[in-house]
Amino acid sequence: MAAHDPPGFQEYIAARRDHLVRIGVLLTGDRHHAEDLVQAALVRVWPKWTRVSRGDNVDAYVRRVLTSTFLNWRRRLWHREHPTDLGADAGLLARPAAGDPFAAVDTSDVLIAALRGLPPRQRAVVVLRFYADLSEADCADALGCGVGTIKSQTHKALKTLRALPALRDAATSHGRVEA
Amino acid sequence: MTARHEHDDPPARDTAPGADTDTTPVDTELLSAGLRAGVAHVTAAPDLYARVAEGARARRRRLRTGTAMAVAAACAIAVAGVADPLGWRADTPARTVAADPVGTQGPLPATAPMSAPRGTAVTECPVGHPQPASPGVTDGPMLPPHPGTVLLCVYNATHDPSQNPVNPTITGTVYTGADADRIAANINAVPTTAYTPTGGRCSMLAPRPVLFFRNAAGNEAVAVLDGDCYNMFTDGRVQAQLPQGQHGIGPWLPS
Repeated sequence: MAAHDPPGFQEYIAARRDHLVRIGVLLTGDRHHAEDLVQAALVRVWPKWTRVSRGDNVDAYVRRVLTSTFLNWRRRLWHREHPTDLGADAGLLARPAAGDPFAAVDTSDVLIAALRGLPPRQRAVVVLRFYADLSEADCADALGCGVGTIKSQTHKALKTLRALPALRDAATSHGRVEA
Repeated sequence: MTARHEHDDPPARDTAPGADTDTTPVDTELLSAGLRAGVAHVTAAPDLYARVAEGARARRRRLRTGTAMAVAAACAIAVAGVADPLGWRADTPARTVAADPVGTQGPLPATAPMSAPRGTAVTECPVGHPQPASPGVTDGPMLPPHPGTVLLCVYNATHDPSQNPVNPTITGTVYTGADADRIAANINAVPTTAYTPTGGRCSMLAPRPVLFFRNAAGNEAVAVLDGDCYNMFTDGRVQAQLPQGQHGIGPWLPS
């Protein structure tokens, strides 16, 4: 570690890098973009680390920087994504048979592809709520908005996802009748 | 370190994820499981910290450079605004100034004393001008059509500058009004070339005329009015743009 490196930062990255990159993958839909996103976010955290590390929730701060970096990236024209035809993969989401270890992976592939079709803020809400297990209040804090916004964004995101044939089939197979 | 890792100790949800929406726990459980399964195999590159450290250092360098440039620009704007908000001083009468011979044995000063007693126009010959001025001037006219004030300095070394740092006598003449306009027209009529350190160098043993000008907007240019000298004197005293294709002082100055 170099002389000017903030103490404890290297250990934090070593402990949390996989988790952060996984969030990045879900946000960006691309492994390489995810690495870049996490790197850019941590570079922004670096100069404030000494103060941040004294707080009681370092992860919350890092998540906030990560999501704001992601949303700022998304505003750049050159970084726009062009989702492909999500319906083409719809058949992969048949409810997995019990004990089928590959079915969950198939499902997740469709989910991740479907995530890319969501607007960036809705996508961030879904990732923070359902992957990082954040409460609505924590999610609102990470995204810098109100709890009401989180609720409405969650509602819109789930409505969009549920409209996909693959996810609708999965829900029906669980005995739920689509509203 | 007091970091709390949510996977180590997941925070309790204030409400179930789908309670406030028209979805069911089945939907959200499926969603959570699918998202986790989709990225379970993803691991970060082991050199992430090294890349972050390098990025942070680069960012710090950029911020420092940007801050320094912003401070310099703010100072320049403040000085220009107070001293000469409308640009060139056009009412300065022609006069001749003579600088004392300068004994510069050893390194040249890092910044040339280009301060002007009136406004922002250069009216005193700098001892040295080690930085090239107006590198983009090759894209357009070197001088404004009505420069207001230009300063001609003649550097005349007393001994061979290739062997020792020169101790030139420096004499300066200020041109204003119509004379300055005529000089600008002459200079602007020929292509110029930006300073290049690989260009030829010129001895200061003979009198070397150099033209200086600067306005309130920060535009600045230096011209060596001698085609043989190319861009720079042998001791690096003056680095300048050069109006090419002309030799001697005659074509440039009012008769």
